[in-house]
Amino acid sequence: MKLRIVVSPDFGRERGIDWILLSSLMRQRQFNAELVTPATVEQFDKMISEGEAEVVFANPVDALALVRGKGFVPFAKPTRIHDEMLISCAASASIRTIMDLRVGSRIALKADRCVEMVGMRLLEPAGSDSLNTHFIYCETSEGAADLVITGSAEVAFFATDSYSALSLATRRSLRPLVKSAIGDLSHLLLCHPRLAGHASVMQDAFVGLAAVDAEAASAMRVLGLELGFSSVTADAAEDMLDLVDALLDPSVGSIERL
Amino acid sequence: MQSMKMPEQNLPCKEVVLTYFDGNSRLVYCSDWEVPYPEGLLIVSRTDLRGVITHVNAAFVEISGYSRDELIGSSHNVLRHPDMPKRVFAELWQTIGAEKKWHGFVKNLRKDGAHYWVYATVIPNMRNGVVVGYTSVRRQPAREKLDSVISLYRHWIDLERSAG
Repeated sequence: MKLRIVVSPDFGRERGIDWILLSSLMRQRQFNAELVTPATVEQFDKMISEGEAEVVFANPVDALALVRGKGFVPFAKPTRIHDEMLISCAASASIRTIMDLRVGSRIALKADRCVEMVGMRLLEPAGSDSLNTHFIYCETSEGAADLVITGSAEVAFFATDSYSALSLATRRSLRPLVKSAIGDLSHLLLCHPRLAGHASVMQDAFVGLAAVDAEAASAMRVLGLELGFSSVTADAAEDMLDLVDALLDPSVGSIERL
Repeated sequence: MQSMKMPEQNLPCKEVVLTYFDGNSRLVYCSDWEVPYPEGLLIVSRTDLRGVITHVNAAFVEISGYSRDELIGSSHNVLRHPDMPKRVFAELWQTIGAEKKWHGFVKNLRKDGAHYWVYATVIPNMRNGVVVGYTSVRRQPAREKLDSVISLYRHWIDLERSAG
């Protein structure tokens, strides 16, 4: 079975080589897999809208749009890995808590709709919303960190795993203000509706990956998916998507984007 | 009438009988102690159609003071604080009954009688066009908005009490 697997840019781009290992593993399992890691959200959206993805590894916000707007079928998720984010200022900044942020602050981030959504919910107590905040989108998390450190942005949003992957020197120049603790959000593996009849086959293939052999386990570990993938039922996925829907700003359309 | 266990903390508490819209009532204990909402926490819960809790996240357990086992299977109104006007919940049920998203400020009662304020969103869970339950997310409210909400809710409570 030919599978073009498109990985959300928030997760994939900075781990391109590691994803090639996963691609090799899938080929060993009789899937003609091609891993694609689009560099930007725009490229990701274009590939989806043009029907170029058989499988998508999507963050929760994109998964909402794909499942409810385009009929994609969720079949697996990373095992015991939750999507959390943190908001950081420069280590030298006078800000002590998010309540010290003034309305109209500049926020640097690598484009990631889930991180942006959760971050804005955490900034609500400070009176910030998507209309009175200036976002500066960067190609990398390092880029977002640099903007904060040099004073070009007051704070930066990071996925927690992206923050952990920053260099020690960069992290020493930052000071986290708040970290989300939701525990109910995770990326999802979705298949295109034209392959819905094969969802269980793909589920079996992905869910067993981490247990195939030492090489497979190692490949999953370097991807940050040490325990591999777990199967997810339609009901469980819908429960998570309801949570995303509840978290979205009411002024932002939820599924019309893609 | 259900009765809530007396809180174990030593703050002065008052006893209040809460009567819900369905006629059920419950004796609760509440103090004036407001627990600050912890930064970063987003409280998540799901209920069935009757408002019985089917899922809570760790943040819910932490801030409510109840254990997960105590919460699952309980009615969501275990958090109901006597200072909350009935009309707020009437509007909530009317909104989600119309299959729309509801937002509002809520004063929640902890197990120990203290309280915490949240800004809540509640949505109906639709499956194949049918509502099967509700999801709620609560987060820290903006204090500047909360001050005016507290005044408004006091006014509404006074009106409800004077109307009997």
